[in-house]
Amino acid sequence: MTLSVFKQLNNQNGSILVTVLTVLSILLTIFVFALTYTLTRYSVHTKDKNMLIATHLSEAGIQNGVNKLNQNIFTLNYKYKTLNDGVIKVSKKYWGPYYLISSTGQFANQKIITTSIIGSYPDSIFLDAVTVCDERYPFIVAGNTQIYGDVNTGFLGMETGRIRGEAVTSKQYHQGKINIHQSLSTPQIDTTALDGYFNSVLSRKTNCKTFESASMYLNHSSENIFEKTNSIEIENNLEMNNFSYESNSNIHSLFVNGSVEIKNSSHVSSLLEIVSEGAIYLKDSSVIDNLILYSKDSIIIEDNVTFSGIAIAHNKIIVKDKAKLLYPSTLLLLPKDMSVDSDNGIFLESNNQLETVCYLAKNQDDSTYMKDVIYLDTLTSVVGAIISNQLVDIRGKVYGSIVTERFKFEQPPTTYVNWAKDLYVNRVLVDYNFGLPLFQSNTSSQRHIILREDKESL
Amino acid sequence: MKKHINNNFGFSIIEVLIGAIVFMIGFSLLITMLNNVFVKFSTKEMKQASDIASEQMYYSLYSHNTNNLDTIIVKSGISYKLIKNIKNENNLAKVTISVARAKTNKEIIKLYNEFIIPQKQ
Repeated sequence: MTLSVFKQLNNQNGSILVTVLTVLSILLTIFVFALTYTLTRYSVHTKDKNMLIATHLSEAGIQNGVNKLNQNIFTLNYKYKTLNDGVIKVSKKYWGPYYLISSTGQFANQKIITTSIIGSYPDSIFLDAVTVCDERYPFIVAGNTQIYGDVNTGFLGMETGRIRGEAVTSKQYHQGKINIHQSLSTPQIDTTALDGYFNSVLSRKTNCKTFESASMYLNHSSENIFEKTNSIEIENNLEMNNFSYESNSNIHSLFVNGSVEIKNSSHVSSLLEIVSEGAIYLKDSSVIDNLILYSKDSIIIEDNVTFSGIAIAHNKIIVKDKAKLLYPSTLLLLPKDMSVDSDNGIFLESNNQLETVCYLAKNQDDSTYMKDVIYLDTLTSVVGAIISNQLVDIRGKVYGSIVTERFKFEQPPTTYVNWAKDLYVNRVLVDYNFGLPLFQSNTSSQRHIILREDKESL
Repeated sequence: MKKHINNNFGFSIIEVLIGAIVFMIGFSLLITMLNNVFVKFSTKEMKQASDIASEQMYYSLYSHNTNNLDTIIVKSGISYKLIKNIKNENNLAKVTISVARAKTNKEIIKLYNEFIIPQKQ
């Protein structure tokens, strides 16, 4: 073999030149490949390392911001250098009844932006099962009531009673303490934060572009709608049909003068706000995550929809069929108009367990008159908190806390004032403190909690 | 010298081949040297150091651990020096974790994060 190679090398024919060139080019290829591979691997690892450092910096910014909020420093817009030569930039905005803190961590050429939704740490009242704040009536339970956890009432306390044709509630209906208070008050949502959000919505509306045609249809190929502008106004209706969109660092706004339909397996996970003059319908198997739906009319979540955002409406919020709410979903009803014939409220009628915080505010026209209700249907259960500045009508199971002005129960022709029938509340099973919206707090400092955190590489 | 210039014969094929191989070996050595001067660490070291720093950082964040640390960690036969430094400022713990090559003390990665120290109830 060796001999034959030497023979070939001593050969004066030109083919040996081709052989040598081939050997040389193979060697060169191996060499170039090895060099490129090493350098690429190295640059990938350097990039990974820088991204890791930038990610930790952006997380640090969120903690820094929350700590400032806890110290009652609410103007957050600052930048600072860190001990590892990184830079952190922190800013705060209003996001519905929450704060939205954005933190950019920068190291070398890598930038990571983390956005967090910040709510309030639950007050001790939310560690209890039921709190009824209306002191003019005792809190009376009937039927097959079961309450696991403490109950807070006014000085008239809690009793058992009988609704027509039924036996008196068993003495085993309650496991926990009954705390009698002199002046209980239902937590009220922080109007500063909420007004701040509505003002920011208005300012975004003044800077938006109006969509040319009367209605807008978004489908799977409309992902680039926000390329030129962050805010779009639609003159009539908006329909999202099998529409996918994801972006967790910029706020995008859609202002709709008609109604909104999100359907046919649309998947939206974004800091998107949809502000609608008409009703908003979520249908089919759509998945709606992180966004704000704000309807000046009603919001209807139906079919197999999965929702984990913030829904704000003035008339009704209805969750029905097999719709699912996932933590940290928030349903917020701010009733405005007393002249509307039908009662407003939040109606939870889905055949599913809903992870949510429901909040019903006082009627803005007349804060003393209570007619709006949070209604929980028999087949529905809630994990989280139900907070009503008016009435609640609870037929299904609640794993968490109910804080309400008064219970409502009607069996025509009788209206039972501050009665609950077949009430099932279990605070014991929920061993974590769910984050709540920002409340007006009497104490000087409100502890803040991170409800969710999303990262994006810039 | 004059003889060589006037020579009409070039280098033989074997000479060219040997020359090319010598050049490549020399060039490889040069690249390795440059790599050591400018690049400082192998990708394996960077990966392992990042893992050690990250693991230690998340441990501190989730357990709210505020103890400083200075230790040697051996991973796949390579020794690393881990230094964790925590400063408390206004109820905020500022954590710096640096991982260096134990032999030369050259820093491979330095992570920085913060966490709110939970208040005792």
